[in-house]
Amino acid sequence: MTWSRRDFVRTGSAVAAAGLFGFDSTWLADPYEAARKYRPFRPLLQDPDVRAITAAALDAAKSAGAHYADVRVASGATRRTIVQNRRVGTQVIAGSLNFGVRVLVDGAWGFASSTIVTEEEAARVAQLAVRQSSLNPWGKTRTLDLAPAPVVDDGQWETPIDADPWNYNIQDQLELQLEANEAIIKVGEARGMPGVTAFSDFLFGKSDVVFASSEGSYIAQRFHGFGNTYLAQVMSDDRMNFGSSSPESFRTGGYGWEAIDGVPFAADAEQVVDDAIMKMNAKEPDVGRYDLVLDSSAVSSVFNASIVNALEFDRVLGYEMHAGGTSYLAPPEEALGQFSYNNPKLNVRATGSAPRAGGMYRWDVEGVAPADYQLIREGVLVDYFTTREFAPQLEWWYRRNGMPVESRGAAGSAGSVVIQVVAPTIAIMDPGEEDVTVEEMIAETEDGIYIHRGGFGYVDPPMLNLQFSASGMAHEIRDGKLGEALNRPAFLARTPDFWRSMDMIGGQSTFSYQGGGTGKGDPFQNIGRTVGAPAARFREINVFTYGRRS
Amino acid sequence: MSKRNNTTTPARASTARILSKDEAMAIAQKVLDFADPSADTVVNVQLSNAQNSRFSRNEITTQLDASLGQVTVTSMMNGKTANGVTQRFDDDGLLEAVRWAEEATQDGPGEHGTSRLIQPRTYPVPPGLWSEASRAVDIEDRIQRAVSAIEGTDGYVSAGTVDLNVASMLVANSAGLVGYCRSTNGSLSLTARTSDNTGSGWAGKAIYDFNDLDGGAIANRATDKADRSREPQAIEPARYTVILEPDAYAQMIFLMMQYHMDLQSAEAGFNVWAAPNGETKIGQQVFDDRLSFVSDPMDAAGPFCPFNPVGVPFDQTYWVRDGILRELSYGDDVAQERGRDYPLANPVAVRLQPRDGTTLMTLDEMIATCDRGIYVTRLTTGFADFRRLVFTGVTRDGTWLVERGRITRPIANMRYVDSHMFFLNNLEAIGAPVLTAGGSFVLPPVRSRDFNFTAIADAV
Repeated sequence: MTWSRRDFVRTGSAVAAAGLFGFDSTWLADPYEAARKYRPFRPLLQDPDVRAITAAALDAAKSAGAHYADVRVASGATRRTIVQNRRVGTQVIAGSLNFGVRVLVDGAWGFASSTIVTEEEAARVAQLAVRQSSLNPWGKTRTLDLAPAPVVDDGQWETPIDADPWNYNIQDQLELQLEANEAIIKVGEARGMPGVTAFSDFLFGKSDVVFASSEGSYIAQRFHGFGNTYLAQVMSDDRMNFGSSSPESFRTGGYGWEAIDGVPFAADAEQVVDDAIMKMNAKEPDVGRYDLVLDSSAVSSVFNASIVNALEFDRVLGYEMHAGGTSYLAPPEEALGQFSYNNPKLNVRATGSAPRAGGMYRWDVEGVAPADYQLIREGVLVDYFTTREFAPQLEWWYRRNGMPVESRGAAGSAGSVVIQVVAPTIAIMDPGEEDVTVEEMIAETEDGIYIHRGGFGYVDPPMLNLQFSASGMAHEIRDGKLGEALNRPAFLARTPDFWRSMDMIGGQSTFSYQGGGTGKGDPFQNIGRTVGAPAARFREINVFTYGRRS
Repeated sequence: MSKRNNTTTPARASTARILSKDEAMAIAQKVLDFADPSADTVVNVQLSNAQNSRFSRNEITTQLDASLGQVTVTSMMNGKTANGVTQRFDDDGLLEAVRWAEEATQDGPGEHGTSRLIQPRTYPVPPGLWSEASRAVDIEDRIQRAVSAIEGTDGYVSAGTVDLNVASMLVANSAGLVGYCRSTNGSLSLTARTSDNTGSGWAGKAIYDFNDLDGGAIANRATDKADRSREPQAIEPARYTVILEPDAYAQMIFLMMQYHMDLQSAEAGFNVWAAPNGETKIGQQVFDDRLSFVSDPMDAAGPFCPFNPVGVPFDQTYWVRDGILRELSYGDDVAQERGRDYPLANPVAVRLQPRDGTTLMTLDEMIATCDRGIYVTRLTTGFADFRRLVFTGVTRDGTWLVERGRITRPIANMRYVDSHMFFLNNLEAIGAPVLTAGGSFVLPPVRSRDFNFTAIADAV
């Protein structure tokens, strides 16, 4: 049963993730291709057999009565190694090969998938998908017209990377990881912290996904990605108190071997261990109202949870009432053009391209290329993240504003074996026009807290009850200067109030891309994305602490 | 209900395909034959079928049927352990998985380790884990359940899902071990909101036998709660006595079982059972002395497969007995130190069992004997403090004030910061354990003092 895992994914914490030694299948994990010594998996991109399999699925679906059908065939591999100090805890190479067929019959979706990738099975699965949606009207009939989308009959795209990680083997990967851990161990010992723990979890993923639709699209994309956790943890002598810190030495996203090769992690090790020690000894914040300066990583986390999730149109319609949660940006006819965060500094847009973005694609999982468009303009809601299913419901708004009635290219999924949902891959909160720096924000803050290097934002449905805890670093700000480190300050806020309170916004130099994600659907899909945001200052936020000791 | 007449209806038949023991063993044997004879090799073969019908806004929106196969090869050689995983059942796919794992056990850097193979043995067959009726469920049966749930929420806005999973798993190793397990489980759960969107109710049920799912009955429970939770009024956030339905705190128990039951983590200071100086709380009173946490694959209400993916048996294990922490899970290194044949594995499935002789109360009796408290049916649950196992979230889908033995009115949702680590020590009353709607956890309703509500929450 999926319920427990689903709820955890929603509430996952960095600490918990670091403690996991299991194999995890996120967006990277759809994957394929063998270690180079052994018959690497035959790529799908130009594979005539794959074309035949997609044709078998589409033909079977149409013959069985589908008005529309699409099929995704995916082949992938992940290579994951987890090392704690000098000990290799997990080394896994996992391949996958599967497909899923989605059909529309009289306004009802059917979906079926399998790990047996043959023409026969493709036809069986397509018929099964049609049978499910044909039986749908036993419940209630609905009408569903897909927004038109350009047919792409020979689409090809590959994540640009510098060096293919699959030209290296698992021992090469471990060697770098062990060096990175060793750097932390050495610094820990030099600091009189022999109990320091260095933890690294590296995962390279590669996958070929072929999308074909009954409208004639045929798109083959190859995705590369790297994900990692790398951290130092120190313990007090009695082992009842600890501090951990995670450097940004290794980047997560659309990277190849360059993600770990030639990275100057040793230079970060001192800072990281010192930060961990500082966190272990940091004082609790005094409960009260503070002005908060958040760096890009902290803003991104809150932005992802409280705004990007709420912009997903299936949540707006209530489709996620029982799963991932609904949105406060509802109903659309009352929210579009009217809902305001009352803050002209807040501008949010979607884009089809962000360099090195994790999960970036040229075409989404229903064959639509995402365009650049505005979602929140000067604090006012002007659009949602939609797919071909949902765009027509906003026709009234698009026509009124001279906007095209088309999918925003926000279809996503946790793999080809589960159905497409609304899950945009990239969302951006624009930096300010003036290049305000974090230092300037701190200098203009009298009594505040600077939260940086990450944080964990979580919002309870309908995305209005925001809670955040500073899982990265935090320092007090007194009279424009940074003061002592603080132990995990937390804050609670109502989403619109929080964004209204943003009175300073950083410029381009404070902007960065971070990992984000959405969790929805049943079976529950945890789908990664990239969010970009600048640093910003928020006024008079209620800060408290969950405390440290029992 | 009208059936459409312009589609042909194929013969009713289950779409769930799994592997019989012989079929799975044939695949496993190939892996063992492909493997380096000098390696200790473990192979796990799974084929499962996941089906669901999802509905939102009183309509079926999506239907899913996923047949997913996976073979996991564990190779132990040269003092190293590695895994290769494939979804392919053909020879080339299996061979690849073996080679991937074996390649990773070749010369290379780092400290590694291996564990002993589980020796050939038999495993018990948990009663009730497999249902032929569930195996035989056809799409129409599943949709029928969704339709009856939707019809049962007529006049409300509803969303929910009907799930069914039919699964087979075989484990075999190069020492001759063979274990096979098949299971059927499913659930139906839904949320119903009143049309004015002020009342909300949630209800759900987990089953092994699909015939035990009554969509209409579950819908009635949800709509009843929705009606009774309309137009709630705020009360002052504070510490209150709470009456918690089992589903309200199941997620807390899951998070404890998933992330806090490892002995070495406790000794290292990483989890809630750590005591100062590398000690653990084993032997200490950690919950009310009427309570035990016991995992048992033969549990009549919540059976599960009796071994883990590499064949380690799940024996009946009292993690906590009469409120005292007794065991934490450990790997083969600790098992060898203790002279045991195999590790103590954690199935992440547990029963919270009241001690024999404890007076059990129904939810109604808990309400009837409560002077002032709050009745909670559902909570969202996130970590406030991972290490101390403290959670925060909000009440949802129906929260009521109880005064002088009666539910007096619905109240606005509130944020809480609390944990079963606390409320299972402040116990006033306990009921009979039931299988929770997410499965895996068999928990009683409880009434506890001083549950910590911290703020009014803007939620339905």
